[in-house]
Amino acid sequence: MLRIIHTADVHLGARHNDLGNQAATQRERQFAAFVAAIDLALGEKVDLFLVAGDLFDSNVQPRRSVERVAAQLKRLGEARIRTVIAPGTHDRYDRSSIFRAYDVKAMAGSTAEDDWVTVLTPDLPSIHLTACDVVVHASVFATKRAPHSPLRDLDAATDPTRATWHVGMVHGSIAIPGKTDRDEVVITTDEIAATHLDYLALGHWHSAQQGKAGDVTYAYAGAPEPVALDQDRAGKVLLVELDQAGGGGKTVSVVERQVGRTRFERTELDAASIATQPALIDLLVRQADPDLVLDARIVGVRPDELDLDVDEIEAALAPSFLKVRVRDVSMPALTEGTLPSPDTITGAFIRDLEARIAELEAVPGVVGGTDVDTAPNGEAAELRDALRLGRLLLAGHEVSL
Amino acid sequence: MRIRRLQVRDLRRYRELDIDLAPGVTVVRGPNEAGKTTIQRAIELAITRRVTSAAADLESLRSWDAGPEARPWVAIEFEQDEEDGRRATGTLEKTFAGAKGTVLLKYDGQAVSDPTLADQVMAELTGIPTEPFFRSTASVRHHELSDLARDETALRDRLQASISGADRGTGRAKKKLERVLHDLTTKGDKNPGRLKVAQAAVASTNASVEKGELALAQLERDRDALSGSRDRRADAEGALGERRSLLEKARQAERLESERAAAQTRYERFRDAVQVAAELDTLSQSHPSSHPLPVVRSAVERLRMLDGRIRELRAALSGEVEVQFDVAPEPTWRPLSRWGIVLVGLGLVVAGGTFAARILAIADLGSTPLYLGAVAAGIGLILTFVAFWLRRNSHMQEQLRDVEIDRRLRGRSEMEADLRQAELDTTQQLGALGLDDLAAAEDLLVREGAHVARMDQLAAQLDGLVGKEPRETLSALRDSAALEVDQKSSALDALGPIAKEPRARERLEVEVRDAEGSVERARDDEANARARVEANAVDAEQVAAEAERLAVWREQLGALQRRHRVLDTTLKAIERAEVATMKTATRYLEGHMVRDVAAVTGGRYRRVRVDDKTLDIEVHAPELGDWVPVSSLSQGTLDLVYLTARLGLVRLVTGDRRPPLVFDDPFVTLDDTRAARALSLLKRVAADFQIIYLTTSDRYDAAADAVVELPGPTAVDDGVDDPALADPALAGVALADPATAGVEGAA
Repeated sequence: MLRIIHTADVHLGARHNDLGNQAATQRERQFAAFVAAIDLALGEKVDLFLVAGDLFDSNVQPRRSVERVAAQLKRLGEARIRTVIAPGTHDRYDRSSIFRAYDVKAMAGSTAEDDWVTVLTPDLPSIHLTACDVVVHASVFATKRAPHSPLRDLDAATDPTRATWHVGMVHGSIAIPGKTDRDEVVITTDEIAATHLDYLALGHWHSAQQGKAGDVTYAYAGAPEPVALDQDRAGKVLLVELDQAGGGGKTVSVVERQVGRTRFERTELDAASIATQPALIDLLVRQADPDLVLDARIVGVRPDELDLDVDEIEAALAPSFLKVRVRDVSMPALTEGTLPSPDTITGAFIRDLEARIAELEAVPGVVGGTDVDTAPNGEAAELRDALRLGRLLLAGHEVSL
Repeated sequence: MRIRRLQVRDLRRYRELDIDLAPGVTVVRGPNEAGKTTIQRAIELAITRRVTSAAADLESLRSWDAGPEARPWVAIEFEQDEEDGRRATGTLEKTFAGAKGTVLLKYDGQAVSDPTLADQVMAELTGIPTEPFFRSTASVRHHELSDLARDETALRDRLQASISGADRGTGRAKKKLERVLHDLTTKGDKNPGRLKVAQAAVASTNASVEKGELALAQLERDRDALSGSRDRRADAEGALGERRSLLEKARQAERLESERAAAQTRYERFRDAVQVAAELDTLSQSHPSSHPLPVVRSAVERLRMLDGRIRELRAALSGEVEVQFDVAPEPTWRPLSRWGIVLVGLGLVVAGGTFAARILAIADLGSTPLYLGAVAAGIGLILTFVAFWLRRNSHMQEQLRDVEIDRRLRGRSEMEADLRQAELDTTQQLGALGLDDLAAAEDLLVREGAHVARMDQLAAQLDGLVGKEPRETLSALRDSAALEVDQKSSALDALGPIAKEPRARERLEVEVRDAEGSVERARDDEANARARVEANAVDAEQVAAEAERLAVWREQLGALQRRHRVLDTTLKAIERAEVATMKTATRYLEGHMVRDVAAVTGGRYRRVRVDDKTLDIEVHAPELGDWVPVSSLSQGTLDLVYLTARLGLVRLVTGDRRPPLVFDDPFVTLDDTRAARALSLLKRVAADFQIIYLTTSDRYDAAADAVVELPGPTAVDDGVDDPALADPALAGVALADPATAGVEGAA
C-alpha cells in the first residue's frame, strides 16, 4: 500500500486586501494549516507528501518563508517521509523562481544522494522513489502559461520505469468550456484517462473535489486554508491510499481531512427586517466565531429611521470574529405617501432628487433600490442616500452624518 | 379640514379625552401639565402618523397608568369643504400599536382601513403629508414671535422655516451638513479633515506600496539575472572543462605520440639489430676461410713474400749471365760548384769594392757595379746549391751499384737454395690454407677480409644499434617495442580526432586560457548578481501588509468621498429647493399678504415687497415714499406682518387645503395690546382656517368661538416627609404660572 498526503495551493505570503488588519493573521493561519498538514502526515505515517503547486503565493517571498517551509519538510524527512513538490502558476519555475533562488531540498536537509525532498522542474519531470515503489510525474513549465497540455506524452502504461505505482501532479484547470478557456494550464478528462496513472494529484482550484476519468482517480486537494471568499470547500488536505489486492487489482481511496481553521461566510440581511443598529449587531454576534470571516451585506430597501454606521458595527463585532465586514448595499426608499407641497423646501427637495433618481434609474442596467451589486456605487444610490438624509434632517431627526 | 371632535385614549396623561372643537377659533386653556400639548400631539398623530409606525416616541406617549396592553388611540370627527362647495364629513380612528396598529377612515361614503391609503387620503384632505411638515406649517409655536425686532434674521429664518416643510426649518439641517462637510474637507495642517487624512494616508501608503512593488519587481529581475548568470557560469565552466579535457587529451596525444615515436624508433632499432644479429650469425657461420683472417693474412703475406723471393731468385738466376760494369761518368755537380764559387767571389769583390770606394770617398762609381756584383754573387749561390743536390744523388746511386755488385758477388747456389726453400714454404703455406696457389690465397684473403670486414661492419652497426644489449634479448625487445607502438596507437585512436589534429595542444591552450577568462568573468557576474539580490532587502510580506493597509485606506477614502458627495448633494439640493421655494413664496406673499397687512395696519401699508433670496419683507411707507424694512416698524406691526406672512405661507404650502392650525400660545410674550391685535388677525384667518389656540391664559376667551378648559393634574407625591413641601399652596404655583411654562410641551 502507498499512503500519500496530497495538498496544494498553500499560497504562503498571500495578500488579503479584504481582511484589513487581520490579513497578517490569516497569512499565519495559512502557514499553520501547512504545519497541520505536516503533522497529519507524521501522525498517519504516510509514505509520501505531495504539494501540487503554489506552495508560495509568489516567487518573491522572503527567505524566512522558505526556511520555515524547509524546517517542516525536514521533519518529514527525519520521519522517513518523502516529499515531492511541483511548482505552480504563482511560484512558477521561471528564471526568477523561488525554487531557483533557494535550494529547498538542501535547506530541508536533503542531499543530492537521497530523495527525501524533490522539487520537480522542467529538467526533472519525474522521480522514481524506489523505496516507495512509485514514480511521480509532473510536467513543469518555465512560463506561467503552458505551451501545451502538461499531460501530453504522459502514459504510465508505456513508461519504461519499473514501479508498481505511477502518480502524477498537475497544477491547472480541468477544462470547462466557456469558463476555463483563458486559464494558463488546462487539461481534459480524456487526457487524464489516457495517462493510465494510478492517481493524479491536482492543484490550482482551492476547493477540494474528486473525480475519475477512465481508470484514473484524480482530485483537487483545495487550499489547506481558505484564501478568499467562496472557497467553502477549502481547509483540507487529502489522505490518499493506493492499494493492490492479491489479484493485481488496484484500489484508490481519497479521504478529505480538515487542517484549516478559517471559515469564510457570506450572509445577506434585509434592511427592512433590521430595527436598529444595536439589533443588527446582536443578530450578527450570534454567529460569533474567532475563526469566521463574515461578509454581511445589508440589502433591500432601508427604512429611513434605520441609521447604520458600518464602521461602528464592524468595530463592535471585531472581537467576536476573525474578521467581519459589513457592507450596506441597501438603498433608502423613495418618499412614501403624499409628498409635501412643491412650494415647501422639503417638497421641492424631494421632487428635485426623486426626479433625478428616476432619470438615472431609467437607464438600462441601473436598477434602483434592488440591485444589490450596483446600488451602493451608483450615482442613483448616492442620490437616494441624499434624499433620505435630507428627509431626516428636514424632519428634525437626529441622524449620524 | 376642520376638526369638530377629538377623542383620545391612553395618550400621555389622558386615559380618556373627548372634546369638541369649534370650526373657527377654539381656545384650549389649562394650567401647565394640563395636557394642552398632548392635544396638539393627538391632532398631529391623527393627521400624519402611520398607525403601524414603530417609532420610539409612541411608546413614550402611552399613559403611565395604562395597562401593558393599552395603546394610544386617537379619533377625530371632521368637516371638509370640497371644491364643489359641498361640505363633507368624516371620521378617523387610529390605534397606534406598532405592526398591529389599525386605522378606520370614513369619508365621503367610503371606509378605508389600509394605513397607507388612509394617510394618503388625510394628506390630500389637509395638505399635510408628515408630522414635521405639520410642525413647520400648521403649528405655530409660542416662541415664534419672540425677539422678532431684536434679531433681524429671526423674521426671515422663521418665515423660511414655515416653507421648509421641515420640523425646525432648513437652517439647522444646513448648518449640520456644512459643519460635517467642513470637518471632512478641512485642509489645515493642524486640524486636517478626515478626507485630507485619508487622502494623505492613501498617498503615503500608495507611495510605500509602489516603492515596495518596484523593489519586488527589481528583486524578480535581479533573481532572473542571477539565474542567468549562474547558467552562464555553469556553461562557461562546462566549456572550460571541455576545453581542459580536450587539452589534456591533446597533451596526452602528444605524449603518446612521442612515446609511440620512441617506441617505433626502438622497434626499428631492435628490428634492425635483430636483422643485423641474424646476419652476423649467418656470416659467422659462413666464413670463406676456415682460418681466422689474421692467420690467412699472415699466410698470404708470407706467400707474397715467398712469391716475391721466388721471383727475385728466379729473375736473379735467369739474369746472372750478363754482368756489365760501366765506369761512372764524371759527376755533373762539380763544374757547377766551381762556377758557383767563382761567381760568388767575383760578385762580392765588385760590390764590395764599389761600396768601399764610396765609403772611403775614393771614387763614386755609381750603383751599377754594386748591382752587378750583387747579381753575380746571387747567381753563384744558386749554382752552388744545385751542385750540392746533384752530389747527393750521385752518392746514392753509387751505393746502389755497390749493393748490386755485392749481390752479384754472393753466388748462384745460395740463390737456388733460397729458391727451393721459398717454394717449399709456399707449398706448405698453401697446403695449410688448402689452396692451390697464391691467387687463390689472395682471393681467399680478399674474401675473408671482406667477410670479416662485413662482420665487423655489422658488429659495429649492431653495437651502434643496441650497444651491449645481449643478442638473445633483442627479439623480445623488438616485440616489446612493437607492442608498445600498437598500444600507443590504440591509445591515440581512443583519444579521438583531437589526437590527429596538428598543433591541437597549442590551439587548446589558447582556448583554455580564453575559457578560464570567461569563467572568471562569469563568476564575477554571478557574484555581482548575487550581491544585488542580497542587497535588495524588500520583504514581500511587508509589502503585502502595506498593500492591505492601502486597500483599507482606499476603502475608507472611497466611503468618505461618497459621504462627502452625499452630504454635498443633500446640501446643494436643500439650497436649490430653498431658492426655488423662496421665489415662489415671495411672489405668493407679495400677492397674498398685502391684503392682511393693509387690514391689520389700518390701510397704512398697502404695498409689500419680499426679497427672493432672503425673504426680507419691506413695506412701502407712504410718508417716506419709499420702501422700508418691516424690522424698522413698531414691534406690534412687526408681529402682525410676521403673522400675515406666516399664515400666507401656510396657504402656499398646503395648497389652499387649509388644515387646522394649532397655535401653542405664540402670543405668550406679547402684552395685552399686541396680543389683542394678533388675535384679531386670527379671527380674520379663522374665516379660512380652523384655529385651535392652546394657552394657559384666559385673555383669549372673549375672542374664541369655543373654549375648552382642561383641569390640571391633581396627584401629588406624598411619599416625601419634608416639612417644606407640606404647604399645600406650593402644589399649584409652578403648574399655573405661565412665566415658568418652559419651552415646547409645557403641559
